[in-house]
Amino acid sequence: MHTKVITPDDDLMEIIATYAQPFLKHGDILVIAESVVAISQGRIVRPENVKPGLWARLFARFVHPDGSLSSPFAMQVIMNEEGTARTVFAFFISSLTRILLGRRGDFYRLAGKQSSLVDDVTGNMPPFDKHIVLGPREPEKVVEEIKNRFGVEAAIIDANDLGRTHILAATRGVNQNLLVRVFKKNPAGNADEQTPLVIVRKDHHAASGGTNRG
Amino acid sequence: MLTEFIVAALAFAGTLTGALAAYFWYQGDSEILFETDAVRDVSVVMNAANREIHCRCLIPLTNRGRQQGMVVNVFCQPMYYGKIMEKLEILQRLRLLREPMRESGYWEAVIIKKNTSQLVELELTIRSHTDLNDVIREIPWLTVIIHYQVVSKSGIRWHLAETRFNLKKLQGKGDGARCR
Repeated sequence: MHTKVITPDDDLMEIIATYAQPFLKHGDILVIAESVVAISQGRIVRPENVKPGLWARLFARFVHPDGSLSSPFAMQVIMNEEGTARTVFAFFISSLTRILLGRRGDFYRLAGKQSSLVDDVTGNMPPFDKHIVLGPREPEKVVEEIKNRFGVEAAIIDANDLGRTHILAATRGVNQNLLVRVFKKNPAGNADEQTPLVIVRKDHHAASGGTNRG
Repeated sequence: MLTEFIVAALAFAGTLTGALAAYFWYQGDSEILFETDAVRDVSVVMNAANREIHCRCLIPLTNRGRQQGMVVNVFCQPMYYGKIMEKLEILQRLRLLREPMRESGYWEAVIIKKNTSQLVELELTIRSHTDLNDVIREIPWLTVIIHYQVVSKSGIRWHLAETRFNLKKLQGKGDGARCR
């Protein structure tokens, strides 16, 4: 669903009511992009308003250049969010497991959920291309609120054009394996399509052997 | 015993600091600049009927550093040439050549990988409320200042670049006059 540009001034439930509710049917799954939920919750920071400390500057040097946390600004935002002690602990333990066991990704597992959800500058469509965008707060509550208000199943998803799909939260009736398959090709796009809401609907005609694959 | 321990601890701390310093130095940082010395495809076109001059050029935006960097904001403004400026409206826009031009001139933050270069198109439209020949007499060369903000590993920095358009070549020429 094409929407206006969603900003921290918007109420996500009102956006859904305006742009998606008229098209929702019983049995649908409403899927929302995680960055949009985060932006509507005001979870954006300009790098100009972040002062990276010594730890953030040090750790960012050891992250792959393509990772969001390779920027000391994004690293500092994560340290503010998850706590300095936790991030320092995660860094040293993950360094050890990488050197001794050759295992990757422990930093993101230990440093908290936000460390893998944060998008650095350039990671979002304008006007949020100039912001660091954190992951959404309490995504489970958001999907439950959607289900209670609109009567459909809901999920918050982090999908990209690289085929990586991560479901942050989903109501009980969502078939998560199906969603991962559907979003592997990222039908909502990853640029400035302005399509943060996706309605997933079972095509009964196609399912019963018809030719319409809609 | 204590002395030996302190010496060993200091030696360890010193070695670690030295190793980190060497690693930081080896990694380096981005070094992003608008290469205004390598400007190309410069054109200055006069539209006498509308009292307009259109200026355009392509400027390489290059990262000579050892790390990628982000160009988050870019603004440009013409230099101030005195009272004649009150009779002019100057619209300026910049874009990465690979991106479509936005009417508002909004610059979308971009990553410039190390040892790469992107072309940036600079467009200016000068609308005059007075005779264009008077404008060209007072501003034979129009200097445009480009301010750009780079976010890199070492921090956020604003840089400045300058480029110039030769309006003098249009002097006395008619509608559609063009120079490079």
